[in-house]
Amino acid sequence: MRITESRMMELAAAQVADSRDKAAQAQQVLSSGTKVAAPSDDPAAWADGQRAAIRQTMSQSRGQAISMAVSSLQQTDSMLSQASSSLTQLGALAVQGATGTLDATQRQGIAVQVRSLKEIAIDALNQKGPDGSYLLSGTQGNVAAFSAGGVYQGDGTVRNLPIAESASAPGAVSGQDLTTANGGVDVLGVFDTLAAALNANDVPGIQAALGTIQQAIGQLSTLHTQVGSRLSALQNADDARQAFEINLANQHAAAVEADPVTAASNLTRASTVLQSSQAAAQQIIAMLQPR
Amino acid sequence: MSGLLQLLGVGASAFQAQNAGIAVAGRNIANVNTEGYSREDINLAAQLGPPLVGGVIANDPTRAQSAILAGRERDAAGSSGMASSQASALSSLQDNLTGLGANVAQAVGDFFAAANRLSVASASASLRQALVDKAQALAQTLQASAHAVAQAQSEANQRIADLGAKASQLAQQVAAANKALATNADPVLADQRDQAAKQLASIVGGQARIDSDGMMRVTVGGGAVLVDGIKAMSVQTAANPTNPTQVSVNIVDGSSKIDVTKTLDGGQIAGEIAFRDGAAQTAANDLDQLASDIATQVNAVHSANAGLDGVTGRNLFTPPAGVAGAAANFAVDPSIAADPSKLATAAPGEGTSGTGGIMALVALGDASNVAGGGARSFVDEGVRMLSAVGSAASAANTAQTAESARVSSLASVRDSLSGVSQQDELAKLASFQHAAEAATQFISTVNNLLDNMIQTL
Repeated sequence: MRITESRMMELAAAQVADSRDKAAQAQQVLSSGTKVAAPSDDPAAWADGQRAAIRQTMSQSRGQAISMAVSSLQQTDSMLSQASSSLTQLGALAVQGATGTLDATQRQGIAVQVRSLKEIAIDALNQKGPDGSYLLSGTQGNVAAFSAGGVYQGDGTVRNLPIAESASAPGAVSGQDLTTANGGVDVLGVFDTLAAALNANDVPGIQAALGTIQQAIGQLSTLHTQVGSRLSALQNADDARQAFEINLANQHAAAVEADPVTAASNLTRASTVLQSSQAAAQQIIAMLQPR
Repeated sequence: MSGLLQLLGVGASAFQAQNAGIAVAGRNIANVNTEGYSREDINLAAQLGPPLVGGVIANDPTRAQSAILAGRERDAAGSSGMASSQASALSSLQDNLTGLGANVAQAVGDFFAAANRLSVASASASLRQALVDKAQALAQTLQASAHAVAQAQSEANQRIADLGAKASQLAQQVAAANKALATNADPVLADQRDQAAKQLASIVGGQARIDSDGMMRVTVGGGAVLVDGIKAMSVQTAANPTNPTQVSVNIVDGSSKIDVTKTLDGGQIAGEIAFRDGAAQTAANDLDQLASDIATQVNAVHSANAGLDGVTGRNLFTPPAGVAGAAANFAVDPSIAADPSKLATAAPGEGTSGTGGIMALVALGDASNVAGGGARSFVDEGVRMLSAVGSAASAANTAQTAESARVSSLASVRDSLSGVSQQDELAKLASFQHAAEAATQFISTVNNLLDNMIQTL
């Protein structure tokens, strides 16, 4: 084919421009670490990368929710420990009150201590979580779980939180489990029962209260255990979530991130081609110089 | 004596013929960088005459050109123009849709991520405000995306109008060249007509043919005549009667007009129309459908649940009047925006700390059958919509690359046939120069012979 000098120059210039574009693209991939910057670069890979990145964002938000729930459950755990301590002390006072050597006045003095312990227990069980809701009130978080008299004011609904895509788990416990609603004893009511027996100098009544106190301690312990198991479940869920996020990060990387070695190799190749194109263009220019 | 005088005539014809060759080579060299110029060749023909005294004559220069190749170039220019305008418009739209702070899919994901966070502390004022903020951001992103698509379509309309005006001018140039060629067969006029026809094809596609009368006729859009001999129609745009936001393209001849909007098969205008009515309109429809799906389904969940005040029946987003325009008008309900405590986080019957409502919203965000006609999640549908724009841009880029290669290949073929080689022309120039010098020498020799003869007599 006949090729004129103008065409030779045009082709050489086009080749240099094309090689320069490719070298710039290779340099951009290497410096940014991203091989798919826009959907048109590779629509399927871009979509995979976007989906993975957004799922990561949503997973991280679930991680924050889990973290807050864990914090609340740990606070609940501490609250229940305080209440448990009050019940243990209550048991000790009951044993003391049942001693035959005490008179009525001494028993009334112990009753005063029992009422004080009840107030401490109520305070312990009426703590609020990070959002200002009472932790043991179920969904009635704007109302204290227990009234000053020890009556439960919340409900039995346990709040759930998302732990994975389309999966949720309970993130709290209900103070209703400390009442007779589920067949147990009224945990705060045992303080009143013992105080009444002490005030009445009713030794058999005091001895009977001892058994109820043991039941209340067991009931509280069951709730405590429930808190522990939910904490454990959330921590397991968070571990699984973190592993899931690592997987998503890998998916994102595979879809849109550049392999540094490959990117460097591509840049080297593109640079070599550019240099060759430039050398060829110079050769053509020299060849076409008027002599 | 008479023989010598005839020889002088031979020398003179040779001198004139070689000078014509020098002139043609000079014009070729002068136009070495003129786009569309076709190399000219001089044809020298021996003159008949008595034995040993024949001369030479320079015929009119011929144009090194192929009508078939010119047709293929026009065809390639139309395809290339269409591909390049589509690629450019789609690339710009893609950049506008993905260059936002957060694209649609990300904004949807951010909204549901905020719902995830609120689910564990539904009474938290800051987390409620955060969810409202993300809802506002989603609304802004959908509005901005809808605006970007509408803007891209509007710009395409403007480019179509501008290109129409340019095409009208080129059609007039072709008609003017037709008229000039009828009285003047200068090859340069034919080059200029070919060049104008090629530029015209790059804008409106179509076909051009040169009839037996030497006139070029150009038809576009399935047969509408744009240039008929010395008469040129105009390419005009008008508001589409069925869709005032989209202009239609007409070939106008006085009071009559032919709508070629749907029939243009090449050129930049066809590319702009394909972009405007194709990928851009699809993106607009997808955005509206996604916005409508989100608003409708989120509202259904939200209104079934209760805010901190225990009240149900509130919408989170302003209900769309219909699918069309849903993205552009997507907005957070003003009462929710003003008072995030009205966010419905509790299920009916739950207290203020209830999370049944927000968990239902979270489940909606995770659901894989709520968008795309029940085939995808909201996030996946957003990603699919953006990816579709990317796919269209990628396909247009590929087509542009292929058409560029085709244009380049044809340019090489044209160069091979019609291009001016400086070295070739310099060689010809030297040849003609030497021949002219020889003719001069021949005339001088004959002249000397005549002088000698006259002196002898």
